[in-house]
Order: sequence, then structure tokens, then C-alpha cells
Amino acid sequence: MDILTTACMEPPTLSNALTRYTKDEMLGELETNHKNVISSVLTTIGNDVVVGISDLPTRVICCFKNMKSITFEKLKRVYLLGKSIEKMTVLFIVQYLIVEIKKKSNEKPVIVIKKDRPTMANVDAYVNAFLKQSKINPSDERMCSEIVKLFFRWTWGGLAAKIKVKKSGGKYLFEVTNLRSLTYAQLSQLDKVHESVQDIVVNFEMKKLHFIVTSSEEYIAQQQTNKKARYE
Amino acid sequence: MNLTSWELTDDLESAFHDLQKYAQNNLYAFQHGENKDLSIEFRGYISNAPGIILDITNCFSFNQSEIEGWRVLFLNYGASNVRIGMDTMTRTITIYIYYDGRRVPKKSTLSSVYKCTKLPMLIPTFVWIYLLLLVWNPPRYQML
Repeated sequence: MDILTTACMEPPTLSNALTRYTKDEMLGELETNHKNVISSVLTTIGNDVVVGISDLPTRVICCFKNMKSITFEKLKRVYLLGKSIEKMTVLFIVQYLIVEIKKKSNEKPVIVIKKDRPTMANVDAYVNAFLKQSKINPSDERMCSEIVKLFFRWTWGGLAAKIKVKKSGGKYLFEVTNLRSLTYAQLSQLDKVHESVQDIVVNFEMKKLHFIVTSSEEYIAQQQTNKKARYE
Repeated sequence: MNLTSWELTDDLESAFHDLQKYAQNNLYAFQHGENKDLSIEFRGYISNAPGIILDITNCFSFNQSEIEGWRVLFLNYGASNVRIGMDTMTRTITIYIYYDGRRVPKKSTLSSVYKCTKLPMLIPTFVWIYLLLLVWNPPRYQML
């Protein structure tokens, strides 16, 4: 299988700008288990992507580009491929998905403690101001405020995200733009807020994240319909 | 709506717009050699303080003096603080400019010292020479 590759983390010179490698040539120097992981990721994501691979001493960094969008479910499938996938990051501005495969290392990792965390009281005030502007139902304010708090924490001190909320029937369509990057851990935190957070999609073309939140009334009605269906 | 802890007023927005123009006007000084294709892109606002984030893209070489040059450029314009980050993967320099819209250039610590030393320079030279002679030989040069 031919895969078009670009040299990641190297300046593009005339000699190595774009070279068509076969899959075996591209993965040739990597360890077998790393090759297997990358092949599985390609199978899950789709083969029509541009891949850049950097083989570093402590990890292998794979950049996947040319995707239009990717759902959270696909990212979950990629992540569950094995213990060796250490981290996955979506870069919105450059439209990459970066997968880091860890190698065995005997060194102790350095832990960086970030000091400038927003205090809870401050975050509540800003979130309430946002919710008032977005005209969300009082019954759904708690759910939406938890979601907005997450984005506040993630972007504190960095690029301010833009959130648009549209109500459509019993659902809120959230559109988050102006994000620099999100990791898989952050996306799964968003997914775990509540069952009513669904359809998390990263749109690389439009450089945005969108997801649907079912309103509490609609969610309760759905639960009751499911119960009736079970007992009938 | 932007997720910021401060309010974006119309005055602030126009001040940020002027700041972007200023950055664009000064970009030419850094566009040389491998960095010929440098360009500035406005990314958005800083979430926890009034300010903007600019990305300088297509940056193939990083130089300490040029990075410091960017910092001084914005501090002289009136920014209260400038933070610079580098991303070698995307060849981008990210500049966080903390600016509240007021063009007050940052004073150096020596500027107040310079002001104190400036005053003695107004006194004519012959007065200093006389004072020196007075200290050297008071009975001879004392006029009183």
C-alpha cells in the first residue's frame, strides 16, 4: 500500500519535500509493535491521510493530516488499540492529529505543576455571565455550566475559545471554535460529563469542535419511553 | 461569545486592531534569510487578562536577539507584559501580548535615575569648576 508521507519536524528541502514511500519502507526502521500500532491507527482513521513519523528516543510521534473530521468514537477506538499509545492531541489550527506512542524508558518523568489555576469562585461568575447571554433554560443551566467550566479551565491563560449554543428542539448544539488543541483525555472528560453529551465531532476543515447536549426534559422523556418499551 | 474573564469593549477592540497594525508594520525587519515568508496571524484574545495572541508563522530559524526584539517592540508600544512561546513542529512563534488599551510605554528602572542626573547638567560648567576650586583651596577662592 502506497502511503504519501511528509518528513515531520524537518525543514522541507528540495530533496525530501514529498516522497512516495511504500508502507514497509516508511515503517521499516520502527519496532514491530510500533509498526502494528501505526497500521491499526491507519486502518481505523482511514488510509487517505498524510502521515509524518518522528522516531525519537522516548517516543514515536505520528502526525496524521488531510482528515475532514473525526468523531470521538473513532478516537476512542484508536486509543484503546493498546497501552503503548501514550497521548493523542488534536491540533485545530494546523489540522493535525498527533498520536504519541511511548517507548520503554527507565528515566523518571518530570512532572510540571501549573500554578496559575482559576479559582472556582471566579470561574462560576464568568460562566454565569456566559449562560445569561446564551439564553439557556434554567433547568439545563447546571449541565451547560459544567460543560462551559471545562472549556474555561482548559483555555485559562491561553487562547480564549468561542462557544456558540443553538437550541434545536430538545437539544443544544454546541459549537466551539478558536481552540488551539485538545487532547483525548480532555475530550473523554467532556464525554463523561453526562450521558446527554453526544456526537462529539472534531471538524478539521472548519477548525471547530461540535457536540450535542440533550436538554433535561427531553432526556427524562427519552428515559421514560425506554422504560415503557422495556416493560411492554 | 469569547470565554474571557474580562469584557471586550469597542474601545479595546479598536486598540487591539491598532496593535495588530503596528505589529504588521514592523514585520519587515524580521523577514530575512530563512524567515523571508514570516507572516503574522491574529489568533484571538487571552482568556484571563486583556490582551491578544499573535502567531508568527513560517519561522524557520529562531534567534534570541530577534525574539527579544519582538518583546521590546510590544513593550515599547504599551503592553504591560509579553510572553513568547515557540512551536518547532508548526514553525510558529506565539506571542501573548497583555495590553489594556492604554499606550503607556514601560519605563525602565534607570529612567528615574536619568531624570535626577539630568538636572545637574543644566548648571553651567564654570560653576562646577569654581566649586571644585573652593573645595581644593577654600581661603583663596572664598568670595565672601
